[in-house]
Amino acid sequence: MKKNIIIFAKPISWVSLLLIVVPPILYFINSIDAETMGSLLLAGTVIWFFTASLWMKHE
Amino acid sequence: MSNVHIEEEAIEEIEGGEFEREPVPKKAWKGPKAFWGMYAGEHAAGTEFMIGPLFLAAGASLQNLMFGLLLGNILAVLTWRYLVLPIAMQRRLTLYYQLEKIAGGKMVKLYNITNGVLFCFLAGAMITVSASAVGVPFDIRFEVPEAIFGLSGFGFTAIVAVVGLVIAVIAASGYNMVARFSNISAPWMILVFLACGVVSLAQMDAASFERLNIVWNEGVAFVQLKNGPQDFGFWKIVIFSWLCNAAMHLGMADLSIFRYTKTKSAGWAPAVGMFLGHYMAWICAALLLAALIATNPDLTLNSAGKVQADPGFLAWNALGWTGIICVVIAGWTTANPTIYRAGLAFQSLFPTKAHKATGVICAGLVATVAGAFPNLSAQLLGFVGTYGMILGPIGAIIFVNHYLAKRFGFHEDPADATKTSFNFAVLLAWLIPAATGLWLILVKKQIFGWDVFPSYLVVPAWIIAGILYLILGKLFFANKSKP
Repeated sequence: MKKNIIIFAKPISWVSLLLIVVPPILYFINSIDAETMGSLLLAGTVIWFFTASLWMKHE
Repeated sequence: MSNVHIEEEAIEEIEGGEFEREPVPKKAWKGPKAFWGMYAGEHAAGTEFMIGPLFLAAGASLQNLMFGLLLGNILAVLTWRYLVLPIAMQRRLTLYYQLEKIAGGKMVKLYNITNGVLFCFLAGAMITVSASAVGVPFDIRFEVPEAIFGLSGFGFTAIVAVVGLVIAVIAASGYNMVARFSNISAPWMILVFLACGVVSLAQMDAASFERLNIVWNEGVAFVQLKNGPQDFGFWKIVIFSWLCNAAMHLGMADLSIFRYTKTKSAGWAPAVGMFLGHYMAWICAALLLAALIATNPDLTLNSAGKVQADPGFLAWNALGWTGIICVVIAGWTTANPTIYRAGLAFQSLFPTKAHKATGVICAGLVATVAGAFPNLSAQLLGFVGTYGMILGPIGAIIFVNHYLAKRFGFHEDPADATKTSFNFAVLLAWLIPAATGLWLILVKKQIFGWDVFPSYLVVPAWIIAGILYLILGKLFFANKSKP
């Protein structure tokens, strides 16, 4: 069970960090507006803290 | 077991260790990877949200900031590598045990309490930072009053009280939960700092360095117009960034960390903390203020018409809720271990029957009171220099003890050799430069017509402490069995 959590949660959490990096760049090049960027950042934050807390405590 | 020893054990527990009263054995030595990870997380914290904007508010030019921080951080890394690491690898002792061998147990207690008081002020600044973000959804912004011990509005002071007490209670319940949360938030927080920078560039419409430079200079001019002329030149930035962690490197606090290293290359690990936290994060946080001045300058002004750095609002302006969450977490995860460490130092002042959380609660209350005075956090550039100036000289005493004591014919580790619990030579060598420095900072405020910037005093205090200990060590602890 613990192993499964790590297998699934770890890649999801690292991918969620892309939601912190990419939206500001898209905002910088005028591809998205500030509101969309804020929502994506918040989604990335929530996913990171949820998934990272599942596997980091085992490492 | 004495209170001092309980204190040391608990502090060492924080620093991930055992072997607090013996050299770390070879089987427990760690490779460089552990140190890189630790330093990466440690230096991207709540203080960065406050310090970054203060550079712009103090009138630093963008070029001076970029090159000054580069040089200062390189000097800091070299100090860790060539000053702290060799002693740590040869002795393999914690700072506290090393200091006890030189200065005696009672003197270590005095050092811990001094450290604890300074930690409370640092934690207070972090409570202010967190409260600045908590206030944003309630439309409560903090005001930095003229007086150092002036309060902000009632609403902000109430938020500080709530945030401070919550942090104190969590700190009193133990260290592990916060340490785990801090580890989880570290990678995310570093990227949020980066996001702050990118979004600020977009808000300033700064697609080129030339454009960024123009907007930055306009921001500096705006601050100077509102707050009066200030100067934060290249060398001031270099010295500040080199010595803002002086207590850790010149003051040898990181002996406790590097005693575990297997290889010399771990000595370069602070580079990751310096260049993520004290370069990228500081510049990105400074860009937050530049962007707000460029887009909505009125929002940077307090009721007296002066520009102030309000970290919570700056992050909100750039990233929305993620910015607020980041400032709250950054402030909290910095304040919490700081209050915990200060509490351990204060615990030794209470009778052994006192509840084990008494010291932490006291430290939390002192930090909360300090946090209620926003001008203390606005003076963070000066405070970190003062902190290094007070604790740095202890490192000079350790340096002299390690390299020069035998050569100059006095006892190495004299308290241990002579079974002394309070080494007056150490007290004098520490107190004379530290007290003189404090007098210059707090009372005289100028030397030869120049304003005293606390970071400038760190290296002179370190050198004077070393020379004094050389003289006093020879006087107090001459080793008559050797020439």
